[in-house]
Amino acid sequence: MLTFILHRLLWLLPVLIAVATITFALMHLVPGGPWDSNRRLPPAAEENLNRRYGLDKPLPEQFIDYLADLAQGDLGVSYRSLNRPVSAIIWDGARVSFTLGFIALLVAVGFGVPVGLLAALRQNTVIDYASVGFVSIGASLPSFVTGMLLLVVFSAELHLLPTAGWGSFRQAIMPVLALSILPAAYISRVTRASMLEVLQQDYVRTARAKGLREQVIVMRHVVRNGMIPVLTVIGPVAAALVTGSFIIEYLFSIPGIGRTFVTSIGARDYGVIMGTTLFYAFVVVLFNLMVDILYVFVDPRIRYQ
Amino acid sequence: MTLKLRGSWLWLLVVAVAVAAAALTACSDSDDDGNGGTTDGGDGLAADQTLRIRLIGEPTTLDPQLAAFTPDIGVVKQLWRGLFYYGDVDLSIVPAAALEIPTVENGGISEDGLTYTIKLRDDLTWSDGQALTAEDFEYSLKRLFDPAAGGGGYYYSYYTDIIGGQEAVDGGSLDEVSVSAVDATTLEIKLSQPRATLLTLLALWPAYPVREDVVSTGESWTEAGTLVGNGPYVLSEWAHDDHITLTANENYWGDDQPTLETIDYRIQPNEGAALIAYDNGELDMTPIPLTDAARFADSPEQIQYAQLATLGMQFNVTRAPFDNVDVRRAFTAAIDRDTFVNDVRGGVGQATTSWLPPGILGYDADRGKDYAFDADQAKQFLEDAGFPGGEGLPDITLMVGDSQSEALSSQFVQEQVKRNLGVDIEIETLEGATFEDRFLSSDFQVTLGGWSADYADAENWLPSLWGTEASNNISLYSNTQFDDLMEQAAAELAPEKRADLYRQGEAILIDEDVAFGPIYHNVKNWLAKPWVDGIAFTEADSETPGDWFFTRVSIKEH
Repeated sequence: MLTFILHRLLWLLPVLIAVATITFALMHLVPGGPWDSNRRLPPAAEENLNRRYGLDKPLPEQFIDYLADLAQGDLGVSYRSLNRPVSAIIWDGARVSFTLGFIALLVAVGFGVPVGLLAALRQNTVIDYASVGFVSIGASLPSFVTGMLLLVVFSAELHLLPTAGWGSFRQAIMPVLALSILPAAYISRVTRASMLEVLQQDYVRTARAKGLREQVIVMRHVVRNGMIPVLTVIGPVAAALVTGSFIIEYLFSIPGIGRTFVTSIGARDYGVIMGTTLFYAFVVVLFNLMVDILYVFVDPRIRYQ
Repeated sequence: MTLKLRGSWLWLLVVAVAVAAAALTACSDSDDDGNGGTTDGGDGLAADQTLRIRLIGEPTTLDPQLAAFTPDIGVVKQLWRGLFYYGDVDLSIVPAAALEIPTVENGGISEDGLTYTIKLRDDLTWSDGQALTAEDFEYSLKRLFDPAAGGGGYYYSYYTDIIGGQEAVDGGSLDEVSVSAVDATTLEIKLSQPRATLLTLLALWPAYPVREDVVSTGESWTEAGTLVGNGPYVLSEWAHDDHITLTANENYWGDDQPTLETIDYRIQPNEGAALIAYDNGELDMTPIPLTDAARFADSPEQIQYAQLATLGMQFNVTRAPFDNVDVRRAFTAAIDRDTFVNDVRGGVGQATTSWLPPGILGYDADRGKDYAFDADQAKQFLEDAGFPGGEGLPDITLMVGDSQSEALSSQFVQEQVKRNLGVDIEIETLEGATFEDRFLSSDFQVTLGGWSADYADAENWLPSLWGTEASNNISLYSNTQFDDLMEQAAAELAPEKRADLYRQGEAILIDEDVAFGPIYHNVKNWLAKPWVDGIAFTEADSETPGDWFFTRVSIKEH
């Protein structure tokens, strides 16, 4: 198991280098640069800026310099948040997005799994139809619409919750809800399908034939085996949630990394684009690894050399 | 057969209880930190003198020599005071850190207008109590031309009449910049040619003083805790991307002492959500989104006032068909500006045929009247151009960025040109930075552009934007007569003569050459709670109404 983990972690290096290369190339292929705005910088100023930040060097040299700095842990500075270290920007933003995403994940799983399970166990009853209905609605509403609806109802009309910012529990309620509805619907659908499949299995019929109580059958056999596909799905869902949603962070004015990432692209803020993309790649690899490790505990048939 | 599925039901129950508990806590206090309360702060003032403002985005920097975007400038103006400042909403210049306005009579300006000897007050202090002297101003003004500081910014180019300035930006020695502290309270500035607007320029943010030992601490000197200014407010907290908190400076030496104890800038990029926050009592001031203009048209909380800004059709005068002056005339006369302001801008704006906005000396109310909306006249111009009915015109593309207002405006222009000229034009919508890239390299036929004043003088509107080879001449316009007038005006000190020279220049630019097709002047449209007292807005506000005079604002009890 340990070798397996080590093996996967070693793969991180080539993955990150590949991501860095592709991002760097794309970033510089796109027209526009970090100093563009609706008025021209005096030419001497643009020269001074490019020289100072090494942007006047040929691109391959810039890339090698970047990798060299990266190896020492230096992610460079931002241009749009002038001279602020990229690592500080990522750390501040990721902390917020991670907290928001993690809570949303808990809500999504905490809601989606039982609902899906219930629907599977009560297939073709009112409960099943209700849950499938909720899933369909939840999966079709874009998070922007849900977010706006929540804002209008709870802030504008009822004056119950604050519209914006991050820090207090009350400020977290609407963003968490808006963020978790889609994943909850998705997770619930996968859970339902998976549980239905497990319920058909021979070992469930055997267990029933043996006279085990239904609750024991469900908790000990059905759920654990049915969770494997769900776990596969939770991995990428978790990675997406935790790296921040631009739409939610924009709508609710949350200082997270999702917003930073998207605005940095529009601003051609090279250091931040590279830093956040590499960070995202790292998170995705990590989460997939965690899911693979979890498999071992959930399904005894799975073993790693 | 009923099945007891305690496990998952229990789970659901737990989640439901958690949500209910959250809702109940939410119900317990309905209003977010509402302002004040009913306790009397004396004179009808609220006990909590906090002003909460929506800020459109995170400031790029709070370094005065580099501040360029409106959030940057808006905050910088509270943290520092330069040698001079605006005295009132008429934007007259009064001394701030300086003791008096230098004139030829009091010896502050030499006879030839090339040497300024500015006396400072002797009670100047930084916010941490240390004395502020002329040496600090010398350091800061030199820093404006330092390639590693202001020499990488937009605004040093306004100050290059200071001898040695441009050379320093190009890599020369900062010691050669002719700004020197004669003694602790006297600053001497030497110019290469007389400049009528120097005092105004010294009232703007690029000329604000910073302290050398503070700046030397490193790139993050602008963070709360290290930033030291000399203005009425102090930066007490900067939570990046979230909020900025300013508190009153106890060591402020100025005559305009603040009443507000705290200014709370909340960074909220989405203006719709900001409006809901305003409704909800979380903000005291916020802009009115374009789509909501009608809703607040009669509201007593609305603040609406003219800005020194012009928008319209920006032609590339070197590219067909806009290299033909009659085509430019035709397009300019084809736009129904009043309908534009009413339908596209929700009535918020001032239709115009002039480049200079009213309020700038040199503004002429009759400017461009030959190109006021007249469909028949427009068709006639097109015929004069050699394209009767639009026949023979090359393909025309109107290039714009991807904002909502640009989408609406460009569709309006397209429709007007179709209806009033019978010409079909394409709209090319580009992503923000891609648009700017094309725009700055003048790679377009026509776009929607304009200008917003940095300060209230025609000098900011004409030479650097329309002079041949001027740095900001995006339209590639060139007219030697215009250039001559600009040169004369630059060296002229008498206000009336200057205004007249600029007026003549604008006459060539607009009446003769139609280098630009003006459509409207911008109008700021904001909301402010009734308990916010003393907002003194000007035509040159940066982001928030009245942000040159926040020291006059107070919160009434409510």
